[in-house]
Amino acid sequence: MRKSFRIIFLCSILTLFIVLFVVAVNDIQCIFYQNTTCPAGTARLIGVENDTHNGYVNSHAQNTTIVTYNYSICCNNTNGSITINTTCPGNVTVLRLSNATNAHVEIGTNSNYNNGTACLGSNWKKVSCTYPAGSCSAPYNCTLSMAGTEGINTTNAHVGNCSAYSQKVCCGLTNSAPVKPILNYPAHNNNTVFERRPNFNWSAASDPDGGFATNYTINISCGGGSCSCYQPFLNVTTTNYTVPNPLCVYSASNPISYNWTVTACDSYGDCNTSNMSNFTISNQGNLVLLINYSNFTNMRIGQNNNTLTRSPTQLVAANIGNVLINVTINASALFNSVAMNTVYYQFEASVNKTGSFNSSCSQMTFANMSLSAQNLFCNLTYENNTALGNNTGNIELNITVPLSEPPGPKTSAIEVGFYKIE
Amino acid sequence: MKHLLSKKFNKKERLSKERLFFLVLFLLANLLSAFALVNSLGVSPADESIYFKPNTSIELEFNIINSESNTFEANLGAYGEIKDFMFFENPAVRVSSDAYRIPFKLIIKFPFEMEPGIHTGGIKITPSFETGGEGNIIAYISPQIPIKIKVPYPSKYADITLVSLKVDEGTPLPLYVKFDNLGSEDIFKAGAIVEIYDLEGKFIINVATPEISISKSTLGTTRAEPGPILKRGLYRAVIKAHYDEFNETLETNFTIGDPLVRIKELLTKELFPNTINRVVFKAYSEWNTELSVVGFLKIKDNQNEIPSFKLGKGEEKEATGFLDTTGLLPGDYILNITLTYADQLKTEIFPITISEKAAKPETLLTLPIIIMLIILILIILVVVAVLIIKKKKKEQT
Repeated sequence: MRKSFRIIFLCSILTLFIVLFVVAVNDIQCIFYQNTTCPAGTARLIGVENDTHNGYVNSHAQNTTIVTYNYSICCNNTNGSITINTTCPGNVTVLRLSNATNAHVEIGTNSNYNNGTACLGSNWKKVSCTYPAGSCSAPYNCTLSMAGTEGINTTNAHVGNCSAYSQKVCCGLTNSAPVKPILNYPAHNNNTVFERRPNFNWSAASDPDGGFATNYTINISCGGGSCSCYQPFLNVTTTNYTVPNPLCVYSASNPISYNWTVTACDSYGDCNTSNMSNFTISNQGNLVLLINYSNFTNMRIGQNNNTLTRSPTQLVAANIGNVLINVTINASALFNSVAMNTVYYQFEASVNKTGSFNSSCSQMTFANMSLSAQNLFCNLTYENNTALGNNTGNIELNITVPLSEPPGPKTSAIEVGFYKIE
Repeated sequence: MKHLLSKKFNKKERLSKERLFFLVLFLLANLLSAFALVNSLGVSPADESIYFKPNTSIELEFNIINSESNTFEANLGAYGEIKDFMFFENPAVRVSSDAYRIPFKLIIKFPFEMEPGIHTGGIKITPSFETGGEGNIIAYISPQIPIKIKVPYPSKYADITLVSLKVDEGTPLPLYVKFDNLGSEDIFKAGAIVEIYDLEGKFIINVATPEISISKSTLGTTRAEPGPILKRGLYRAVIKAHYDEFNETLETNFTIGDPLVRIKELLTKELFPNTINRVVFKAYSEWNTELSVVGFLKIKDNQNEIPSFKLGKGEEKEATGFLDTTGLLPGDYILNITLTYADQLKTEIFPITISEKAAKPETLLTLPIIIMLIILILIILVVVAVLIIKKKKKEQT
């Protein structure tokens, strides 16, 4: 029994030691050092000296650029890899000084003194200070104490070590994670997102320590169906991101939906993750004829004309949906004296913008127009990467008036069909 | 009319007849406003796949997308091997200009049995409109919605495909193996090893997917790890897949990045005004198959085509084009060299000077060589003459 108690006692001591060590390991510690400068590895916060020049209790202060006082407050960190510095501005203001030397002090959050400041910073987390009239609480350590002569201790005060006065100056390495980003687009439960490569965007996450998050991780995951087109994690520094690969569209047989979150982090690696948003991408095929007629004007018997010279103009089709399509063509008869599927009425595909469709499987030479659908464009893209649009293709026409054709106006309706192929 | 085609018909008479039969082919549509044209039409969803359920009916909803706010009537029709099972709630849909999405329903009545496999067909939407009378050639849109009916095979069967995402070279390639469970049973374990080769058959890397389970009539996707890092080009993948006790091997090609031809250097530094200039540049292919390249040279409005040339895998070649500088004054210009190949287009710009000097005739350039040749011939003649004189002297002695 005694042995058990002994083991429990030892374990408790060990645990307490580990906890204290872990808590203390990254603490700022400041000492009153009897020298005009500080030892290597520490940074001089201020110089202090009492009126008799032989102590640091009830002392005046001088800023760190002046090195005439016999005592210095020297600060470092219990973790050797963390460097403490006392540069101003840019770091937290611990104290304000009434003068460059022989100064009274006030707490850093006051603004009565403008003749000097004492600052603390680190190469790890942000330093912050509190000014309790009592004792310091974790994670803050006591740096110094101060006392005024007129009942107010937070300004017009003299400086002492931590046990001298009740008004304490407590500093520590603290950091707060940025707030959760707000996800803007695609919005939560938006089931009609059109873009296959949406521009995900979210609010800049403010950092309670000042400024905003320095980087974001966007996590897009896929559920509900069989996914083969999503990027799992992406690190960005901006508040928007366009995924490089098209996401999958929704269908009843493969009901893919996407969940996405953004984690905002500060430069110290403290992070906060947004609420999750869910969206689906609609499955839409849509084709528009940007030019849907061509004016061949008057033609003689036997005359040939085509749209390759742009007089008359070619027809132009554009894929304005969000899926890859094949485009077909057929037409009603143009001439009375000859049948369709003859050289008198022909079509071909031509490039309007490079990369719009796959020319190796498209009809790139004139072919006879038929009453039934024939292949025109193969893999006409929906991606509109250029200002002019590269989701377009030209439909060229080539007409020769048959020798036996009676005169009069001629009519033909071209049916441009399309279907999804991905 | 037949006599018009007669070979006996002489040319004079024929021309006269031509004038007589002067055709007024109004192949136009400048009366656009007179026609009810459907120059834009969309559908959503753009396709559908369903699994076969014997002796049941399934109702699918689709939408016509009226993105151009037209008013017309759309006729719905079925096509393909499944058309006999397809029925519409209304075979004609009235589309009005104020409606963007117009829903319609398709009812598929499955028969008692169908052959295992994938049966295809679809919906064709044909807008009806007035052509506005004679003398017009107009185009309209007629979308199709492909529909697949998947009929399970007895026991276990999966349709396997490889999906590769588009990435730039140097980026780990996400490769997915997709299992479409077309069998009548669940698959408990499915996975694959993907072997990647270049097009010459040289093995590059093996990647493997974790195993997944796939319920019947569902799709399952598993990602191959690690994502291979490959150079730009075309590759061959051999997918050695397994699902439960079955093994299957299939091959497919995939690409990393797009074909790329770089212009490494413009060798011609100077052009001359008002003449046809030869322009030489070094082109380099960063693609691993042969590319046919054409293009054009351009300074301001002066543009001339570059004759077609081919670049092999990783090949660097001097290519030549010609540019007519008529109308361009001497000075500094930007030369655009545009190359097109494999559905790609790339333009690079180079500073170039059009010199004030006229082009030097080539004969001037070869004058020193001609002088050297004459001197050389004279020396040879002198040497020969000396040798002959010496020989004669020797014979005399």
